[in-house]
Amino acid sequence: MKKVYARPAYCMNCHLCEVNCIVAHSRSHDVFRAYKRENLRGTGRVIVEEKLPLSVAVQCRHCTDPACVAGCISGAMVKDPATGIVYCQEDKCVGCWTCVASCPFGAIRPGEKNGRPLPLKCDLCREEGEPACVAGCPNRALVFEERRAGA
Amino acid sequence: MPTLSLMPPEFSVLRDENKCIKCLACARQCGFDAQKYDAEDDRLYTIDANCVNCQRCVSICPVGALTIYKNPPPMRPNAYWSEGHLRNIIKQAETGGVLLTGMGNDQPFPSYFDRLLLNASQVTNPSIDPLREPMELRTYLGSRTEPVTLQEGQDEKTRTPLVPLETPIMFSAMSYGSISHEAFESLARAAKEFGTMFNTGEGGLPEDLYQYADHAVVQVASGRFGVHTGYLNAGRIIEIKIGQGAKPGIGGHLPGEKINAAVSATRMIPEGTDALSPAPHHDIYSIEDLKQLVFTLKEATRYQKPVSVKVSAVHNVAAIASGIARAGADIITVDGFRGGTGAAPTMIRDHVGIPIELAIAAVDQRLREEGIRNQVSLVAAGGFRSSADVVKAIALGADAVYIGTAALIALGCHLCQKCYTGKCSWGIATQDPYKTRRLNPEIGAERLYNLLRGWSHEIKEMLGGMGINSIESLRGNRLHLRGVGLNEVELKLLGVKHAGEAI
Amino acid sequence: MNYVLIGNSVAAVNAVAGIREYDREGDITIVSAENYYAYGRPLISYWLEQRVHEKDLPYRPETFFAQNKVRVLLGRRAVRLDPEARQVFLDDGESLPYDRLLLATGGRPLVPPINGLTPENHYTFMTYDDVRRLEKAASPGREAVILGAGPTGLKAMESLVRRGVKVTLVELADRIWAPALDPGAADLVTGFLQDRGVNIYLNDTLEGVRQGDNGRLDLELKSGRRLAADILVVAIGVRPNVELLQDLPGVTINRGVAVGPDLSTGLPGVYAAGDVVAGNPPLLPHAAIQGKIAGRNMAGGRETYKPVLPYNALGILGLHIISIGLSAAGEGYEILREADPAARVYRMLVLQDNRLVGGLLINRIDRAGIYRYLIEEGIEVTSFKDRLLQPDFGLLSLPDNLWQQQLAK
Repeated sequence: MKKVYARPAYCMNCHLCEVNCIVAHSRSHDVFRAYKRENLRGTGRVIVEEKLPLSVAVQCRHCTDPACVAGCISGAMVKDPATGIVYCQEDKCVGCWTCVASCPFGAIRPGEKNGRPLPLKCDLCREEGEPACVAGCPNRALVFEERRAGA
Repeated sequence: MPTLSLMPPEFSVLRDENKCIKCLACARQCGFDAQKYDAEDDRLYTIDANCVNCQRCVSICPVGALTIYKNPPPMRPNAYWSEGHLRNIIKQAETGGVLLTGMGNDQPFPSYFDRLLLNASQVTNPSIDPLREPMELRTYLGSRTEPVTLQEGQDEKTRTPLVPLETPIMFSAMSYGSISHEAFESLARAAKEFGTMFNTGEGGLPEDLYQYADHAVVQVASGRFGVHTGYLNAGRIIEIKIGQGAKPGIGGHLPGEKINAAVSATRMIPEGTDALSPAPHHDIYSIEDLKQLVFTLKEATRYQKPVSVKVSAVHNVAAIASGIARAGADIITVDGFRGGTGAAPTMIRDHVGIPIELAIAAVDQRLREEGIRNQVSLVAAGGFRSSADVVKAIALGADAVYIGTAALIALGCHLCQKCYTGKCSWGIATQDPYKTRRLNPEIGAERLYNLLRGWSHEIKEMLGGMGINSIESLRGNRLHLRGVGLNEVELKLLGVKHAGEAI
Repeated sequence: MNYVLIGNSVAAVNAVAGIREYDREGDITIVSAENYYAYGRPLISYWLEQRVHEKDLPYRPETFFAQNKVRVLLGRRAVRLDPEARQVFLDDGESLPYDRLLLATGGRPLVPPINGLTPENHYTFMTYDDVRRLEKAASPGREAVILGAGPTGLKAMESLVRRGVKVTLVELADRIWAPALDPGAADLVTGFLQDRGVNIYLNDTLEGVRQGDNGRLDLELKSGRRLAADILVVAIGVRPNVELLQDLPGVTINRGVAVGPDLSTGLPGVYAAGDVVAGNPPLLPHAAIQGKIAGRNMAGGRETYKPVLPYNALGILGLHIISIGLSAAGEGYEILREADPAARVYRMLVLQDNRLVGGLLINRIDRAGIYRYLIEEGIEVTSFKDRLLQPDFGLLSLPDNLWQQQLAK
């Protein structure tokens, strides 16, 4: 399946993937409303890790056998059999965070939206086409492509 | 530095707090510590004194919250004591040092390109539509076959091959070390993809970029950095660098901090040592000495590589060029006073040399008069800002041009002139691995390719308008130029008539 | 191919998915003792405190069963298996033939013999029916005693506290949730609960139950302490529902059903997955993974179940705890620890021979899965040991080849 792959050699630590992710997952799809009204700062589903000069965007690998799906106690986390996308049905999540403990990439963070728990994890912008992080990366440090190995 | 600096900040960075989303991209990207984030207070603030107006933060800000303003002059306005003079004096009073700067001469000397206009066909000879009819930009560099006699030291057997360019625009010499590997690779890739040349500058060619060597002009400069037979034989053209337009008569100095492991390996000097290029080549004190080096290089490459000699445009450049042609060079490169640099003393950059337009005209004229114009190609460099500048240079007599500053601007350079600090926020004039990764050579090469494509299209349009279908037909064809607002001496030197004068 | 799955919880549902990866057509029948479609059992505590409503209980939407062409028999119990004839008999006399059978019967609460303890005067905390019954009794102001302070007891405690019930925990061990919490962490959690009005008695257990005239229970503890309560919840563990395979030749029962690496039981065509399997921790992720693999193998796959170490994520009254592997180990192990009692943060990693074998994180749980990865893979951590508990610990803290390999997946 097509996934987002990081190219650390060109990651310049701008964290704009996080910004674009937040806007794409906001109600308004507007950067100002997302940050200033919806208070979504810090809720990116992609995590830019830093070990300067190195930095890299870490996000869900959409595993073949996702441990987060296996571990989900409510059935909220699922892998779409058609697209392979692993995503959380947010209204079913109870916030036990077994997914956080399950993910071998540390790509799921505990979050919250409107007082309800919300696992912060990449859903490949499944309703949008090209993921926002990739589309907005100013240095092509993220690519959305099909690779065979481990896919 | 004194406790109290009399140097007020040149720029102010204004952040529109209504727009700012505190994503911190500005603080992470500023190369000069002008953007700061205080995590404890969750507050972004700027240190205006550090801002060099490189515009990195403005460009990266996803919400357009930043604007950089030029502050008023530090003293009351004075047409004679300009702000530049005042700042230089204050800085030197505080440091006692030689003023350093980067990029090209930014002073308001006249530009002859801006006083020259091109011709176009009307009625009596039809113009050509380059979208419908073939239009040839291919240019060959090198020495043309002599019609009859054999000359000393250069005969049919030892003539070097011509080098084709798909457009008469090459990338100027910028050394690996002065610019990042990423910038260097961008130039190399774009040159190869477009079918033109990049120039290694005096820092050698990194091992991993030998795949682009057939589009490289490999330079041999006074420091001889990175020069070995493999390097000479890998390149397509060899260039002996005598001088540089930004700093005629001056050597180079790449500080040890820029000599990391990779640069050290390429330059063949120890890591962390300063790379000093002497002002003269210590083995060249005459045209005869130059001839020895030209033929040494030709021998070393079995006469397979044209040799170029690059000089600054200085007062007697025409006579020097004649000597270079007679020394056996295949290409003469003349670098005008607007040429860029990674580092030069400000006074040298701003006050030495002559405009490239006059140099082209003088050199072309002299070589024609001496009947040796066909022995060499003339390449002009130094401050080409547009395709129109290129067309005018070729009409004045150049075979091709080098672009350096324009290429860097295409890569992201914002002409902040701080190359010499090694802090370039755009990942160009730096070896800091945190910054070099900002320039993805894939993107860099695309942007350079686009620039060449755009300019080449425009050149074809201008040629077509003149009714010419080949760049060769324009070369030295000064009848296509007219001067505006130029005095008689200038018109004579340029070899052009004044606008309004008929043929 | 004819598949019969006994049990209708997480293991069975995942087995359906596993089967369908290989066999789109075969008949699948699920026999469910409960009257409900599969639901995540841990959700019952959330239901009890009304954070989850009945409509959100189903583990998979009802369409899942139709889409996967599964016949579900609700409220029916498998009572006998004839491995020779490859038939299973249900409580209503019906018999189902099978080519492949999955035993996914799970476990049931362990209720020890205690004087005066009757099904009517105590509650267990495992099924939806359990909490539906408990809901009627759990009204504000009443008093409950929970026997057992493991994860089940703690979740029962949380939901009762949230309903306004006054709770007392009685735990036989010297600390709460002893298999997962080391003494330091247990102290932190105990203090947190006590601050919220929960009574906790350690080193003690229930010895007798009497129902008073007023309907209230009089509980007698081993220590001699007497507690009065309206509600008694017994949550001291589970035992596997192995009855269907009991005494059949070729099957080994060792508390649970012993299985091979492919999750087969030794009876032809019969597999087992989930809490019923011997040696398997009674945890949801493990049931899901085993169910999926058993399903694949039943339908022709050849997959091996690599035992997954126990791990658990538990939220109690806003305190988030993640325990992985040997998270309570102490003596004989190298311990890395960081605690911020004011923020109720506790982070502890357990190492042996420079490899992580356990982790315990309270209230700062970001990137916990990376520790689990290091534990599962047995990766040597010597070169980055000092980074493990740093606030910015992440994939980049690992050696280059590891993070590169992870991100290439």
